[in-house]
Amino acid sequence: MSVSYRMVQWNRHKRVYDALTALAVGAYIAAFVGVGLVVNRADGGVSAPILAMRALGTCALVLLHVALCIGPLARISPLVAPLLYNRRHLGVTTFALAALHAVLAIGFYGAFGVRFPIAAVVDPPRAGPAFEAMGFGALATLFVMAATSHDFWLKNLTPRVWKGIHLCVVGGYALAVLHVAFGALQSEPSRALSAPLLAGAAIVCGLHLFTGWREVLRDFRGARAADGWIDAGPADALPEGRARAVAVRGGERIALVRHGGEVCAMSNVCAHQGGPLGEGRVIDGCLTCPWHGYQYGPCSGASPPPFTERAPTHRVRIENGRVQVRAQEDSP
Amino acid sequence: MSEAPRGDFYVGYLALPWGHSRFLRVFVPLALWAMAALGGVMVWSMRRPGPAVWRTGAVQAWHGTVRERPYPALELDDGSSVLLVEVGKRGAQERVAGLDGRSATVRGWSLERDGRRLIEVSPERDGVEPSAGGSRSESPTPRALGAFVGVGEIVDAKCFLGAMKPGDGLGHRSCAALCVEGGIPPMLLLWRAGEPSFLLVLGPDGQPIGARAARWVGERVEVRGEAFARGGLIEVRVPDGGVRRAP
Ligand code: FES
Repeated sequence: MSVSYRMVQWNRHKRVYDALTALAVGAYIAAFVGVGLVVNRADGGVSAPILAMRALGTCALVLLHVALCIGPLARISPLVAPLLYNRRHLGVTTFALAALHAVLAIGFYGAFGVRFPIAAVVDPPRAGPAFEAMGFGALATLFVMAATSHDFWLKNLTPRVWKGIHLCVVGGYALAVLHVAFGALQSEPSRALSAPLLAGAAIVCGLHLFTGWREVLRDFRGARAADGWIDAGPADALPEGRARAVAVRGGERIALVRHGGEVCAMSNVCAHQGGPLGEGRVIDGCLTCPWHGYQYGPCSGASPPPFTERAPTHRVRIENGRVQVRAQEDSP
Repeated sequence: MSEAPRGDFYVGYLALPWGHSRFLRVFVPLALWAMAALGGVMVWSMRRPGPAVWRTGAVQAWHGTVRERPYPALELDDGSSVLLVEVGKRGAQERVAGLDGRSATVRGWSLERDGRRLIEVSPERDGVEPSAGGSRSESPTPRALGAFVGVGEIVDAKCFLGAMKPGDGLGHRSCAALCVEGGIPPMLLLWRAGEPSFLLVLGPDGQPIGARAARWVGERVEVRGEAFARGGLIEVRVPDGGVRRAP
């Protein structure tokens, strides 16, 4: 949560996260280059820029898979939450690696010739699929993600537009996979390269389909409003300081929270990036989002000053020991 | 305070809960090792680049007869021919213009692979130095070998013989196309029992095929044409429509 924009609102977790990301990238690239030098020694080695290009490109693809798996995994197990917390830095790192890969490809494959280097690489005369252009498309998508990843854009574009833009990562991922499948893999006979790509795509798609389906099912089984009120279960089922999401048939979920013995309700959608407030907890008297820790007054829906975020609230009543929530948001 | 203990609830700006800390203590080292292992396995599984050598370093000199066509070459005293190219992705056509049949000293660097050699001519003025007052010799007549059909990959001679490793494959096609467009000879690379053989790819009348070959580089193609032998090089003259993607 921020009232002014800084490049990065650093804290210890973010520093550790970034250090570990750098270490993981370093480990991958060091192993790739080291093993590459050893196994190709007999042939006098792979050209250094090509070895580096491959190390960077494959590393970017691995990170992209990791970044795409974190979201659904965090929905399956809360233990994954620390990986989600700073995921945007993982995205920016992925873009940086992919950009370096592209710079090397353009500088080595596209330079010293009779055409403009970028055109020579992105649009070569060709008989087959334009895998180079696919790679360029993937890079452009990652660029848009990285460039708009800051909260400044989130706030100014509105979370809905921002989310829409960031869903383009799915297209970027598809382009990256096609870039490899129709490019490098065509000349690589080893299954050890195509198998991980297929497995990676299966895992990414499988995880998203599984968690997506679960959510759809939960919403489908959600309560229907009767006379404008939704039954949200027994009043004593919600422990103190805890929250729960109430699925509403045909509508947005509502977060129910108990604080100081009182049950209150607000939109389940965090004003930051749409995190599920119903999976949050009350900390320091505020309902705290499980994704990045934005906080809201349990019954006011307002972030504590100086912050200005607000989650729309819903009226709550207890009837015969059961919680009922008004389907309609309270007017602000 | 009327709220549940934070317990296993993670918040990025607060201390790590015990459960997460225990999980990360196992997960982080595993992930780091997995990244290193993945990097190693990836590169280990990739195709080896082959034994091409680019003898950069001290400039070497060769003496022989210059041939302008179909691609710039130097005919050595033993009857073999060595293709000539410029530094970068350019052929040596301008450098040898008007020198066909003249004896000359060529200075530069050699690129070699599987018994085939190519010379990258030094950009200095004496890169191609015609011998003073030398007479001109006729180009040897190509010997017809008959109809040719082969499946392989069209590569640019310079990269495949050592300027890039690997200098073949689809990933390299933009570079190969640029080389061929720049006048570097395209060669059809055929593999038989793990051994490569190289055929110079020419137009239907034995003229350079030029940029027309660029769109086929890096792919597995079937080439149909007429084969000829000249100066230790096999040429394949390809009519229009003589190249198609291999089935
Ligand atoms: S989505 Fe980021 S704090 Fe809620």
